[in-house]
Amino acid sequence: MNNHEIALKFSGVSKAFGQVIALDDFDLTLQQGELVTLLGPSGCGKTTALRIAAGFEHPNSGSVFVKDKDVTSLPAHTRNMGMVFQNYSLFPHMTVAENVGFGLRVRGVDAAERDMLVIEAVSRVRLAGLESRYPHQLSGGQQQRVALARALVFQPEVLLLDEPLSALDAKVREELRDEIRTLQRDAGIGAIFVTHDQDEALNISDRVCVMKEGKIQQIDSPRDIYLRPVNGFVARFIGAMNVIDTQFSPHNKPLIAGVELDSSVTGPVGSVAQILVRPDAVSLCQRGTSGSIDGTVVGEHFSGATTILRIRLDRAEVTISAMLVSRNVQLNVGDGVGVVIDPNEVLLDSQN
Amino acid sequence: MAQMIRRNLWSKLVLIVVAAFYVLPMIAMARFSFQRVPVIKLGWSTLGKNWTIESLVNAVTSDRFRQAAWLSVRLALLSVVLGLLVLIPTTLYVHVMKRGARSYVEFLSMLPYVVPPIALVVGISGAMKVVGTWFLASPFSLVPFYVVISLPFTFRSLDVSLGAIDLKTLVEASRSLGASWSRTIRSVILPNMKVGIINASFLCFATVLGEFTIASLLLKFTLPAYLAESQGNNPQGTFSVGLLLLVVSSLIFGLMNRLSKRKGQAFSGLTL
Repeated sequence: MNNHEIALKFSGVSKAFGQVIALDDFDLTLQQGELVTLLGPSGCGKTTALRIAAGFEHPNSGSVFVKDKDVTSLPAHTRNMGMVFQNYSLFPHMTVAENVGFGLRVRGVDAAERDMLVIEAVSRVRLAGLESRYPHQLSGGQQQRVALARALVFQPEVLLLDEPLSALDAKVREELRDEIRTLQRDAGIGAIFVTHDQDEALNISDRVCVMKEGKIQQIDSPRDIYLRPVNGFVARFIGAMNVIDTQFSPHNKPLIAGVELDSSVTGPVGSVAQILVRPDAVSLCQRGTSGSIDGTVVGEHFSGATTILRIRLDRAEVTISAMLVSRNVQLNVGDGVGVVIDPNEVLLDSQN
Repeated sequence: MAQMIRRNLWSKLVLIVVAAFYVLPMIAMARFSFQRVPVIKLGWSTLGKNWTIESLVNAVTSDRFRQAAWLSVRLALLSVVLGLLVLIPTTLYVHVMKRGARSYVEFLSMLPYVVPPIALVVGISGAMKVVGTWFLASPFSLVPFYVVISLPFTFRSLDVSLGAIDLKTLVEASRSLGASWSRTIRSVILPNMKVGIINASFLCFATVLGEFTIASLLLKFTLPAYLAESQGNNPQGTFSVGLLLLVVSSLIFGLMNRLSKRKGQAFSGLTL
């Protein structure tokens, strides 16, 4: 981040569409040079927040500030924000150069300077030489690059990205995700990135804002969101998660299949609860190893660098997932294993 | 395979029948108009005899024809202009601002299909006799009627052209780039409606050139009125002009189709 100057601020913003509350008392501050991702399931209000920032929706209450200026009632075209949309929003009757130069033309930049800035912006998104092509002559990834160049060329106050990668295939998504991050960092402007893809959010963001039903659940760095979710919703939404029914021991510790976990999670003796454990916090050992829980492999999902094993515990009606990274260990369905859960990685499910 | 061949044969047969239905009357008209051969002798044996465009030349050089044609062309152009002036903002409004109103406007645009021209003329002329007789006295009083009767074609052309693009996103993209509403309409929306505007204009033009009922009821001397008047004393001339109109209309539709296709190639997804 370049500095701690505020780029964009939502202050107590609420928005309802009829009876449906899309955004409820939404507070968020975006620093200059920072990229914050709004992440959540469909209908959580992330796109509404972005559209309110852009000026396409008006809040029922609350205010939006750009730097220290209240822009809540300003029309969209006066807000000086660059926006990239999900579905390739290029003007079909204009060439790449005309599309990129549109914002400059609207701002009255003279032709010579405009041409120079357009060429520079197009080459920055690695499309030099394609200036005279029409959008339908470009691939999806190229179109989004043009949209990105178009949104950045006039040096906007804030960059707004509305699921810009969701229409692209996996390989292009990854490439463009990194390019967006680089371009945004180079430009030094604040950016709001809306997505429902948790991997994307964890990869690209300085901070992730997880939302549910119009409310912010947690705003934190990707690492803290993953490792220290504040509630069950965030824990379940980000990454894979084992949800395990447990009962508390006489030492107030969680018991799984008769094995007590020496965790900081505690509860009244004999009470039942659900605990949450990431697959990468579950390690495997020989069956019968002291302190481990015996189980049998019932499923295997190979995904390249890692393999997720589904393990049915012998002495409880519980199946948990464990992440296997080592290539030297080959386990098959029906093999017996010992399971060790890292007690420091156990979370209590505070919300269903 | 055999089924495919059968289907191919069927489609060719249907095409031949349709082409014959369209072309045979035109050939008959052409022979009647341009062959100086008594009607009773028009047969295979006289197919190549005495062809001349004299009847057409005589008809189109007459003052009555020129008077009627000039009025029809002016009426058609004015109807196109007025129709576009009314319909472009309306179509934009229902696509950008008020999507819910689109079905009502579409319903209204279909009314000319079910309201007979005579009812339209009697209704409006009855009302105008009270508030402004000057209106009906002018030959240009036909223009509003023509705008109304061409609504089913003009509205649909514009509606389809806007429906073919992601208008909402394009408008929002333009606005986010700093363009005002007027600039967005001028620089983004109208260029993408080009095909629709061209189609609407041609369809309205062709409708006006061939409209007879309203012109006749309001006693205006348009091209179809000229044809009706002259068919008694100069049937050959009338048919030759009729054939000319048919050819011109066909050329207009052909041109329209070609332009739509060409624009469709240049601007993805904009074919009508």
